[in-house]
Amino acid sequence: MKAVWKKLNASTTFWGLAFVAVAASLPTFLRWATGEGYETAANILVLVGIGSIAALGLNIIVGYCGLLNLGFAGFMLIGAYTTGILMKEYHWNFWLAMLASIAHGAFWGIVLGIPTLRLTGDYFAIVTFGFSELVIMVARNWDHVTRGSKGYPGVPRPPAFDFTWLSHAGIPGAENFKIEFTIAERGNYWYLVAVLLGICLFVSHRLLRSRLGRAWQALREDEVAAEACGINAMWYKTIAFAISAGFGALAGSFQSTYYTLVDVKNFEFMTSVFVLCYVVLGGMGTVFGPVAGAAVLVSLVELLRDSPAKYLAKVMGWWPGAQEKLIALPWVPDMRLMIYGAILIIMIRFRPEGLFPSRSRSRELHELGIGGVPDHETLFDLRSR
Amino acid sequence: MSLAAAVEVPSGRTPAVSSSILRVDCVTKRFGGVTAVREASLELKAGQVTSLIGPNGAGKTTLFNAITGCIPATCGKIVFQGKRHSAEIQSLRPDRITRLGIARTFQNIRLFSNLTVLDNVKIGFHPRTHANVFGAIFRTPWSRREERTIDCSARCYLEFCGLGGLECEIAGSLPYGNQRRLEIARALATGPNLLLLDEPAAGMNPSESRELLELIRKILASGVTVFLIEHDMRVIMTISDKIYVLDHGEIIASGTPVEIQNNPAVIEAYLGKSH
Repeated sequence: MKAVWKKLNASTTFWGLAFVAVAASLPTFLRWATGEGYETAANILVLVGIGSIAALGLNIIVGYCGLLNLGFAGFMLIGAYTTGILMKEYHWNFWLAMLASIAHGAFWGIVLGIPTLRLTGDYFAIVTFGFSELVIMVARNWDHVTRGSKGYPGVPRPPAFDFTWLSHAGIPGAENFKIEFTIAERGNYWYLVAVLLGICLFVSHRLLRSRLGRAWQALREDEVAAEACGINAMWYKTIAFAISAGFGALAGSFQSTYYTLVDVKNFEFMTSVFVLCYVVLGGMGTVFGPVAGAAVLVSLVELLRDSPAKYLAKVMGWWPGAQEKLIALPWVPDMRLMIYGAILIIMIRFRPEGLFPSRSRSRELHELGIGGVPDHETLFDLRSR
Repeated sequence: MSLAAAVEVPSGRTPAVSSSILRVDCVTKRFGGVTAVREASLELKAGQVTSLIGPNGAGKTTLFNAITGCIPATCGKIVFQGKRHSAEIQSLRPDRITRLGIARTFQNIRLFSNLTVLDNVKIGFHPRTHANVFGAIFRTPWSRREERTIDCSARCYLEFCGLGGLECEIAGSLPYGNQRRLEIARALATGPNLLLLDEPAAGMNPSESRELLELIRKILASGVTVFLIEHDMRVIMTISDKIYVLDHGEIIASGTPVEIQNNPAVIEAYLGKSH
């Protein structure tokens, strides 16, 4: 049994198929499980998808290369505005606009990377933070292009996947086969974001297990030794930065068509911090970790808009009077951040390596000295290297 | 493939002993007011073991760092006879110098200690391989082939350095002697003409340093020139063809082991004047 699991675990095809199966069945499952609350659930699902893509992007810098980037939301903002403006003003096709956004994000990644990647550690983090603030300032003040802090509304939705023409070819039932992206059908957005997420997962996975991924890991472990192995530190960090920024721009790009709005408020420093939390708490340097982190933390932050007492009340019907009392308890949506913070503290204390830790990372955090072994088995041995 | 072929010892690749592979010309390195190396000049002959000895703090490692570009020299010229042509390397980046064919190990072991033994050596193949982002994502047949070659040759190098069977261990958890060997394996994986070993026998017991001598001889036989910093005189005197002695940043003597053992300036540097 264990051997079978080990073999499956090592197989990309298995994980790929598992991802497709889960992604395809999730909306149906949620509709069944949540009933009336489906719209909310589907919304959370899509936000998890967007958060996951962003987290995967940041993971390339933070997890693979070991550089702290505190300005990731800047790239997301660039992607969001690029898609928004190209689709609304220039009537670009959604897919083309998305590709252009990725390229644009990557371009700024390189522009930021070339002068700053020589900096190390904290200094680098501060410069990235400065960069995102700069992007926000430009977006806020370049009124006639970005509409500043009023936000940029009216970004078109992605075009529908229309397969009704198949009915002309005589395929039965095809006349209803049309996936439209509207507010009423949020679940459909999930299919779209799942495809993008799948591609991002695939790319992350392939990059990690390649010559490139090894070079990044070498730079993370010991830059001097990496250079002595013939690795051009600047070049590989710049590549990492460009790819990471591209992922970020993709997340922002998709978000703008989902909200049909680009609002600078959604891309401020706290967003960078949240994405960093997804990566760190999911498991830095692994492929699935950031997605798990995004799934847990995004759902949490959305679900806690409602008081936890209300969720409790639903199952307290058998206790007379309890429901009314619980519902009457005071709750302000911002209070969710308290619970969020508490969970972060608990995680950092008891499982600092994240939900899906990489082997090297758990070793670092539970160091037992020479000859030591990691002091626990991981939940799923993801064989990240 | 050529990578694998490089491991097959010796194949008559041993170059003519007379030709010079590295020439250090009046190299000086200053750190602020301190002159760590002062106008050091030396020459390495291809196919030989040249050693650099001297008391602690004499500037041996600094000279190594200047040659490999880790800490560039303040002034002076370093000429390396590479695989194809000779080049002045004193102002090149360390990764460029590695590409030209100079590999090194470090005095305080610098492995990628959280990665596996195999990955450590695979990283060493970096300068000899070419897969880029495109190849990595789409795993083109070409990049697959390269990956297979890397995997296979990395195992060969581990075997060569006596680390066979330890591929999946985490590098940082290896015992000290094996970490030294792994560092040598990683350095060899870059495909060097010249290998700089910075105190490889430090902390080894006599039997381990005997094995190390054996390994250095094998490396030499495969056509790689060795430049050695070492404190263990038994190792130095057994294997060196030529020895340079560095004291207070200056080269005070050079010659064969026998000449060095009887050189009064060297004895003075090591044991003091009253001796």
